[in-house]
Amino acid sequence: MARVEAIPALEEAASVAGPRQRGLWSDAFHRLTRNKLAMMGLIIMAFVIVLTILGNYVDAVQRYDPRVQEFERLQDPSWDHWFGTDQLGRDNWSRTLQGLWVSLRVALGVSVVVLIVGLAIGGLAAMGGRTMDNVMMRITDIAYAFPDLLFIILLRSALQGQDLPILGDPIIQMIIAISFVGWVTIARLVRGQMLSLKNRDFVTAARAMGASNWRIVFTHMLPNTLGPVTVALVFGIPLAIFAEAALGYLGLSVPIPTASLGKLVADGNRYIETQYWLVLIPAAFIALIMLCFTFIGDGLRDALDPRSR
Amino acid sequence: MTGYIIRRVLWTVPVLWAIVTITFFLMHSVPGGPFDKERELPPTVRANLEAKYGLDKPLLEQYVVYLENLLQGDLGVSMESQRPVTEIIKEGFGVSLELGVSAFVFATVFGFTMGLLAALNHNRPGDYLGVFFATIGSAMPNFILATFLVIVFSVQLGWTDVIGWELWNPQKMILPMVSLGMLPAAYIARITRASMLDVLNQDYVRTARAKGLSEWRVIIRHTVRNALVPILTVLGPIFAVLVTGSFIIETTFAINGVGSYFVSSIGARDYGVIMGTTLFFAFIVVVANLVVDLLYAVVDPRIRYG
Repeated sequence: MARVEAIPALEEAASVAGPRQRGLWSDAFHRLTRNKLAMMGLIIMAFVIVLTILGNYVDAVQRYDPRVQEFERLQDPSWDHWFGTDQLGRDNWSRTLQGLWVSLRVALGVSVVVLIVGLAIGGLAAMGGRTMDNVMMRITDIAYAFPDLLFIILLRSALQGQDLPILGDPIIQMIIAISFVGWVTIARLVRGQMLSLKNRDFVTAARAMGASNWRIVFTHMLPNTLGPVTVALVFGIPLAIFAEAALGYLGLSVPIPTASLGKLVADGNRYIETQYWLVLIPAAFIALIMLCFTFIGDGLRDALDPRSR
Repeated sequence: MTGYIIRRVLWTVPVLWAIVTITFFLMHSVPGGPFDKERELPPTVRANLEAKYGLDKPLLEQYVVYLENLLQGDLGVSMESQRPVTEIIKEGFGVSLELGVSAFVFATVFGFTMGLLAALNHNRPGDYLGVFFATIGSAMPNFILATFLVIVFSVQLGWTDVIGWELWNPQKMILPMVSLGMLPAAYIARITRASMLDVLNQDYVRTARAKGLSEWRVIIRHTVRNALVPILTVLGPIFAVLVTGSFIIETTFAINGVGSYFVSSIGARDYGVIMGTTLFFAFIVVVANLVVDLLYAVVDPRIRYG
C-alpha cells in the first residue's frame, strides 16, 4: 500500500500558524511540570536517589563502613557522625544510606516485575477468550481474600534460607514476595482497559485494514493502556516501600549486619525514650519517600487524564 | 435473589480451601522445622516430638489430617507452648477486636468529619486542610506514625504511655488507636469528600435549595444521606483490615493480640499458630467481603441479576 506523502506546504503552514503539535506524553509532561507538589516530589526523590547511590559506592559520601562496630555507642548526632551512632557503635549515617539503597532496589525491582507480569496476564485475560478470563478473575478473588501483608510475610519466610540459585538473594526474595501481591492491581487494570479498547472504532478500523492481532495489540491497544498503568505503577511504589519497611521491622528484610530502614526503626524503638533520633531518622526517610511518590502519582494522574480533576 | 445469595455463600468455600492449601504448603516449605533450636535436641527426643505432631508422615498425609481436623473446628496445637491454637486465638482476639473496633470508630468518625469539612468548604481553606490530611495520612505507614506520635506525646510531652493497651484508659488507648486508624481515616475522608461533591452538584439538591429549604436541612436530608452509600460500601473491608491488620501495631506497643502471636510464631516456625492465625484472619476477610457483597445486592438490584 502506498503511503500518503506529507505535503511540505501544509506542514510549514502548521508550524508557522498554529501552536506546535504535541503528543499525549509530551503534553502530559508539560502539565506535570506545572504541578508544584509533583515537581517537589520529583526533585526530592532525585536528590535522595543520587545521595543513596553515591553513599553506597563512594567512600567520601559514605564516610564510614556501615558494618564496623568501632565507635562509642549511642552517640548524639555530631560533626563526626551526622546521624549519631547506634547501639552497637556503628555510624548511623552510613547505615541509613545502606537501608535506603535496600528500599529503593526493592521498589524498582517490584515495579519492573509487576509491570511485566501485570501486562502479560491482564492482556491474556482480555484477549484470550472466556476461559482465560474466568481463571484470571478467580485467582484475583483468592488474592483479595488473603490479607496482603500477611501473604508477603509468609512468602518471604518460606523463601528465606532456601538453597536456590539466584533466588537466594534476600533482595530478590523480597521483590518476588511483594510482586506476588502487587501484580493483581496492574493485571485488572490492563484487562479492563483492553476490554474497553477492543470495541473502539480505531481498533475496528485497524482490523478492517487487515492489521494482524499482534499489531493491533502492540501498536494500537498497548500504548493506550500505558497512561493508567504508569499511574498505578507509581502509586505501587509507596506500597512496595511500606512492605519492605514492614518486613524489616519484623526482622524479615536483609540479614544482619546489613541495614534496612524498617530494621533501623525496630532497633531504634528500644531507645526511643533516650536517643529518639535513632528511630526518627529512618522513620522520616520512609515517610518522605512514600509521600514524594504519592505526590508524583497524583501529579501524573492529573497530567495524563485532565478530566479526572 | 435467593439464587445469588446461595451462589455467593457457596463460593466462599473454594476460596477458603485455596487459602488453607496455599498456606499449608508455603508453611511446610519454610526451611527448618519447629524443633530446630539453638540447642540441639537429642535425636530420640526429636523423633518423638515429630511423631507426636505427625511431622514424620508424608506431607500429603499431614495435609489431609489437617483438613479433617479443620472441618471439626480444630486448628491444631502450638508446638511452642503446647496449647490448642483455638485457645490462643480466643485469648488474643479479645484485645485485637477492642483495638480494631476502636480504630474503626476513630477512622469512621474522624475521616467522615474531615471529608465533610472539605466538601462543604470546596476550594477554601477547610478543603485544603482536609485534602492535606488525606494525603499525609495515606502516605504514612502505621508503625511510622506510631513512632512519631510516641516521640511527641510520650517522650517529649509525657502525656501517654510508650507501650500497652487498655480500653477506656486514654494513656494506653489513644496512640495505638490513632496509629492504626489514621490510614483508613484518610481513605474515608477522600471518599466522603468525592461523594459529597458529587451529590452537591445533583439537580435535586438545587431543587431543594430552590424550594427555600435551610442549608442545614439540604445538607442533612438531601446530601449526606445520598452521599453515604459509597462510604458504607468501603466500611466492610476497612473493618476487616483493621481487625486483621493490627499485628505491626500490636508488636510496636507490645499488645498481646492475635497479631502479635502471628509475628512471634513466624520467627519460631510454630506451624500450628501460623496456620491457625492466617486462616482466622482470612476467614474474617472472606466473611466481611461476603457481607458487603450481599448488602450491595440488597441495595443495588443490578448486581443480583447481572
